[in-house]
Amino acid sequence: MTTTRRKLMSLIGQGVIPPEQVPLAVKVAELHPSPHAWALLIDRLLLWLGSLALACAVLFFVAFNWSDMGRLPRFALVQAALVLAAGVAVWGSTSVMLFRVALTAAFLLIGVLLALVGQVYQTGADPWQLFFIWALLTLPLVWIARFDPLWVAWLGLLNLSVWLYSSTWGGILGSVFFTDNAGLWGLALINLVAQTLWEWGVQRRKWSGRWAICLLALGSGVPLTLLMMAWVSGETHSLTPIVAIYPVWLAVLYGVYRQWRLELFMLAGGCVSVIAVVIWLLARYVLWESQWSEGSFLLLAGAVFAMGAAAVAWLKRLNAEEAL
Amino acid sequence: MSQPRSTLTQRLTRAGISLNETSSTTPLESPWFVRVLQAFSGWLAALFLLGFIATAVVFVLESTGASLIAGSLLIGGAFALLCAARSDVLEHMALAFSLAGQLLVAWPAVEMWGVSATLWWGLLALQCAMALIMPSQVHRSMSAFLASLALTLALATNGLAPVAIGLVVLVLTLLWLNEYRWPRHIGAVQAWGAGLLVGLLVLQGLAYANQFNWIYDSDALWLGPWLASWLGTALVALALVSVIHQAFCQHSQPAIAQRLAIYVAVALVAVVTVYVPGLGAGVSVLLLGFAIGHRPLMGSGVLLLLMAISSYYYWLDVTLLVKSLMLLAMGAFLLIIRWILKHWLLNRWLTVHKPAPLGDANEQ
Repeated sequence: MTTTRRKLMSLIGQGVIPPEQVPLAVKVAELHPSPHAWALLIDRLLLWLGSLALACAVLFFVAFNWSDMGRLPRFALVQAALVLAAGVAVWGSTSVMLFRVALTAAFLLIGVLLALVGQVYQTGADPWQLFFIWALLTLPLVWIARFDPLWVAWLGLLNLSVWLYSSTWGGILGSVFFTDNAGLWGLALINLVAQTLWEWGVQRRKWSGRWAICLLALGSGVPLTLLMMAWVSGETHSLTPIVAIYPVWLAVLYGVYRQWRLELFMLAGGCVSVIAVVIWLLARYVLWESQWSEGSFLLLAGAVFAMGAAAVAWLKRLNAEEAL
Repeated sequence: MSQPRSTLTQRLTRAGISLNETSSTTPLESPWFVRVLQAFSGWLAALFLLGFIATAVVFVLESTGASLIAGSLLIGGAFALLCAARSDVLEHMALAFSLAGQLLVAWPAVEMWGVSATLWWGLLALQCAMALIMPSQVHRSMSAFLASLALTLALATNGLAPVAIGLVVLVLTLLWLNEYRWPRHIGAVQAWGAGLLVGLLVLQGLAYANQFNWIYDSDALWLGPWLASWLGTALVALALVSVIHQAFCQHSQPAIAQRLAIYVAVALVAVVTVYVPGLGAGVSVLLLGFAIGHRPLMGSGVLLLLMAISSYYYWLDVTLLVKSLMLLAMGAFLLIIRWILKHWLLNRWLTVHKPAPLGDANEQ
């Protein structure tokens, strides 16, 4: 997507707009917000910062674990704040922004309540359980809020709980599959599923939030790349699921974001992943597994040059193609 | 995709701007992530190149003079390459040569001065020179980024890390606010601004992780920690005032009372920032991004605010109870201000200024 800013920059760069008329061109292009937009921003900023500061105040208070205050008043405080947030969401549901702010505060307060339960009753639960139950309980709330940042926060909770679970217990499917680096597999899987669903929603249901899809792509691409690099540096190159999955992931990434819908961010991410894996592979064979010579470094530098330059040239060509 | 482009040129023509015909095939500015990819591969290649120099011609590193000469030659070669042609391959090669050359130049400096303020000031001068002379956007961004790091490390030695961060916020604000002031150098100004933005994100992250403590030299303390903190905050407040001043200039001047109220609000943000580190920088960058219609800047502002609140939890200067009470007071205050503004000013603004058709940079 080419923004007005980039189009204007292109015109200035090509010398289409005379230098002395650039300030006027900037004004005409309406890059700068109107007084109406400023008023809206100030209104929203005050609402968001104020509400989140209040929700965080409750969180910090519970974390302080004040012994002078009994358990019941503490529960009453958090629950009252939760009821207040829910009340504002219902009462103020005519204003979309107020509705979303209230539900975001409620989302945070449910986590605070769960943490308070753990603090007061010393349940002995693992940390992953807190985040997982938090995610489970807030799913309906996130669903009705229809607010991209809240979905991203919810997926962040899910990522965190899967990572913590894997760090404690290892793989989900027992000893047959995915036992090594179970956490990375978990993150890749969750974010791939979420990315696919969100992409489907954007195409079929007119959902918004391309930035969130890019974030999810990072959430799946980074673990997959690390898994592939772990395979490359393994003692033997035995056949493991990543050997099959990584090329398929790359092919799908190319097919979807080059052929079906041009998305340079995804393609750039794929390029970085390939460069990292190939350089890691080369480094293994020319540096730490052979009688390396000075030329090995030169070979690696050359390989990075070639791949980096090819990737950038390709992306720039696609960028120009997109702007046509 | 051709429709919005022609619409923009039509709008410019209708506004009386005489557009020049151009045969130039200057491509669109690359998206930021393409430049990041370019910088990433440049860095990686430079490291391998340095590995080659360190192993194949080790005498270069052993001799101060040889290291300086080889470094200068590499930097000079990079400059010549960037001047001669603008192909991606050459730009990459130049970036790697230049980085390897800079490391070679820095090596004798480390041997001579050790890890000291003098070393960081020297590296700052080197990076500023690189940012000024190198004819490449990516190189300028990277030099600006490294310059922000060098400046912070130089000042952090004397316990002035907050002042350095405040300076970076102020300089990046002034750069972005004046991006169109010199149309011939628009690319350079934006490249420096982008580099400083990345620098700010990294510096705030390091500050929250208390990573400047290792460099802190208590014998060479210039100012008390509280004064350094206030000075840094004052610089951030100055950046915020610049953004608001620019917003005033873009539109009709408000009444003196309204202007005073806004400046009092800035002063309040500054005071709160001393007790909630990072808040002022987040608000400044967010408003700056909004004022100039720059989404990555706005996103960085939000990120800075999120970083500030999560690091506030671990801030050890006050107890969680005090922090909780501060947040309570701040939240209540902001909501009351909003309520008052909504009834006094904002509703009138919203009705008086009919929604103008917004450019896509301003879509929320």
